[in-house]
Amino acid sequence: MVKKKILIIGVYPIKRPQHGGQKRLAAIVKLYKQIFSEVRFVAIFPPDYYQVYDRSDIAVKGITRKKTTDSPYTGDIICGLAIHDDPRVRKRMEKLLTTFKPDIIQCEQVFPYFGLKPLLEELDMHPKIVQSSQNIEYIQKLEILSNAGYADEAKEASELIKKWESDMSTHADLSVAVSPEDAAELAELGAKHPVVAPNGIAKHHASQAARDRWTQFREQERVTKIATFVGSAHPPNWFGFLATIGDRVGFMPSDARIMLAGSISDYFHDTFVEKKLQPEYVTFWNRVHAAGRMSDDALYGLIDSSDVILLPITEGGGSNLKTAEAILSGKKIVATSYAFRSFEDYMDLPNVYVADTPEAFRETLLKAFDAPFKKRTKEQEALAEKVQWEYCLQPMVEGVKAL
Amino acid sequence: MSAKKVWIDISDISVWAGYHTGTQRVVYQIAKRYRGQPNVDYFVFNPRSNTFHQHSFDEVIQRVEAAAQEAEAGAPPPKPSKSIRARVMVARVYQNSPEAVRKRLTPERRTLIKRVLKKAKRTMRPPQPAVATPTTPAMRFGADDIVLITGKAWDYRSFMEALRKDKLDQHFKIIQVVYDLIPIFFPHLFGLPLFKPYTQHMFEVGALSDGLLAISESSKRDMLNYCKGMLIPPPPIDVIRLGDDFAKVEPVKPGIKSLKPGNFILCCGTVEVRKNHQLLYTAYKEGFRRGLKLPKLVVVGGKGWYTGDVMYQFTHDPAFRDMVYIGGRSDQELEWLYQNCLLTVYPSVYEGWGLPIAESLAHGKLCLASDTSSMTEIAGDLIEYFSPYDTVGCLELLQKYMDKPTLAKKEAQIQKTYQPVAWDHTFTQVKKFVDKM
Repeated sequence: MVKKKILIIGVYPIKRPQHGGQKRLAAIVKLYKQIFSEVRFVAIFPPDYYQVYDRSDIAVKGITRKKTTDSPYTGDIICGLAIHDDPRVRKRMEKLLTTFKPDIIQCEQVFPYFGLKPLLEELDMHPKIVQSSQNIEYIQKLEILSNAGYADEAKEASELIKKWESDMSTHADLSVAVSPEDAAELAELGAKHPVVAPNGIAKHHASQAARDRWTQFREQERVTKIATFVGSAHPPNWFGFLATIGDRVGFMPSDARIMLAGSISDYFHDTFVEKKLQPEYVTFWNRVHAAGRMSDDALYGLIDSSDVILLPITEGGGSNLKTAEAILSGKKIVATSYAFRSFEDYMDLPNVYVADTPEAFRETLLKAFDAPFKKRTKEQEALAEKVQWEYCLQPMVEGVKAL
Repeated sequence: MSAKKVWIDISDISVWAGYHTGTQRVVYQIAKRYRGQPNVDYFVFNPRSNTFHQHSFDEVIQRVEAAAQEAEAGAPPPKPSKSIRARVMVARVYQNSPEAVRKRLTPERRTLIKRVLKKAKRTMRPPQPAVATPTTPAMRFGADDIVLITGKAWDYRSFMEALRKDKLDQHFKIIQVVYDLIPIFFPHLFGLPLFKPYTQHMFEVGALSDGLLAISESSKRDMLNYCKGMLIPPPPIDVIRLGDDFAKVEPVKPGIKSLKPGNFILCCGTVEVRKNHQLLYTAYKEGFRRGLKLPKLVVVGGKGWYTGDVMYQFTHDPAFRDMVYIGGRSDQELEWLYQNCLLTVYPSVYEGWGLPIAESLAHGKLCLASDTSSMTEIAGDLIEYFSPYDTVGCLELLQKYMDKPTLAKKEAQIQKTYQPVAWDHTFTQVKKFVDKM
């Protein structure tokens, strides 16, 4: 055990990780607890979007909470600022900082830093700061808000984030990025020797019941080919799906289905509705099945039953947990080259198909369905194993150890 | 090894007790001509069990012929009452609702619907022997078989899904007749509940069929556009021409005193928003405003989608006291109307074919029709067209043919030139396509 007191701060709880950011954060906390003597985690989060959390987490309330519901795409900024500006949050953070007295504070994403920096200054505390980025947030926020139709707010929020991202990159004792591209961007913003710790995945085995459920689905629906896309309703996920596969699915054979797993189902379910009188919206469901949110066991059962895992990622920073999950699953993968950022070494694995235009992506999916499955060599198996968290987060752990 | 068999879907007409109209006529005329051909059999779809069943076509023929004989003898066509039609509609909606929707209904509503459904089933019993309930066990089509669907399979929500599942196992071939894609491209002209099932149905028609027979170049174009839009690789599509050599019946004058030979213009077709009766109303109004003396307007057709307003105007506008609306009518009455009208007018916004135009021409009568979709294919330059959105264009054509010599000249040209298409010809086209498979 390395004797260090580490406080990790995030803007969402990790009691029941669902989306990629939560999974990464949960993996970091779990790994740190195996390596460092004292590790604590606190989330300052909007309770309207996360219902499952620990007692030590801080759900924002009152005006701050209202702000997060009024402006759902900027909840992370609001929660980060609340560390200093919301008296209730500030009081609990002050107590935590002054009683725990961490040697190191790791901010997951830049947002907690917004309130943490002025609070530390006021408390005259000087722990080491670790910048643990998942994306280049100022770019990501600009994309998300602009695509959601908030052009003015996008610019304002992006400028604010860029200011703090630059400040943090300049002043942090360690900066961690999830891809070499992000690391270069952080360096551009002022980070000294940022390390790269790509996203990884934990190995899971689906129960027999979970596998049976999907076998039954295949039999009942007379479906012989399944391509699964696992994703949250995070805008880059559906942008990517629409930019590659699209909303017209007549190219899919009648015995094939695209399965949407996770809250991305909600997006399509709510958007592709009959009342809009668009043929592509109603026929989408002739070949796509919204499996919805599901337990990890059910999800791994679905992945086990799938022929192809889809990675139609075209934008968004960071590296994708989905990519790691797909690699570890051993299934055929149809992906954009963008989805393999920081997993470039894995692109040559057998059963990996890469296409970057909508036409090529759709054609490749059909080709992948029919292509014979190729077995990985021992070396390739070993390489695939390296997508697990303990390997991926190693550069981060080494960096923190050295502080 | 067994020879490949052609299976003909007669689901539509196996439950129909009245006269055949539209698609039913196509199903019947094609099925009838396949009778006696080697390796041909008939089937119906059972939407309750989602299964296909072999079915006797002889029963259908007997029933249709009996109905025709009754009609010859002067019996009125069987016509269900409004309450029965309402119940049938409720029953259909309920039966075709997905299980999830049925589950969401409160127990009280479900009980009510079930009660209505029960009554509907009782009252739906047609006067002729019904053949709706399959009497044979569920069957599977053979691997080399061809399934020919000429009717309204979209009426059964689960038809294509059942066919898809069977086809995956058996790899038989499917040929379907494409009537039109109007509910997809012009959803505002239909009841909104039709949009989703029809769009999804036609998606599978494109995706699952090995060959399609469009009833017009326009419908073929629409189907190809739809397939292209949905990224469906289109199957081969041929165009067939529907027959319009209708059986001759004795004309019977409808019981309306004011109707006299040559004193009216006829507009046939369901009174629904797509048929664009509003344009006729407005054209007549403009004519009245210009001081023109226009012949009586006779509108024939059942009431359909979204025409409450125009029917209200026709019925309550004092200027239209002379107009005649005939809802249900017998073939004999229709014959009299065609024989004795001055000309016919067909202002429909969009059609898959446009049978009333062909019917008019087959009776030697000029039809002034819309210039969209398939309507220009029927007679080309032989008749005259107007934009379905151009009231004055329609009025000016009406005015032109109020001149008796001009109309007589046109009629003579039609009678000399127009050749009704025999159903035998349609059948030959269908059979040739099927045999090519």
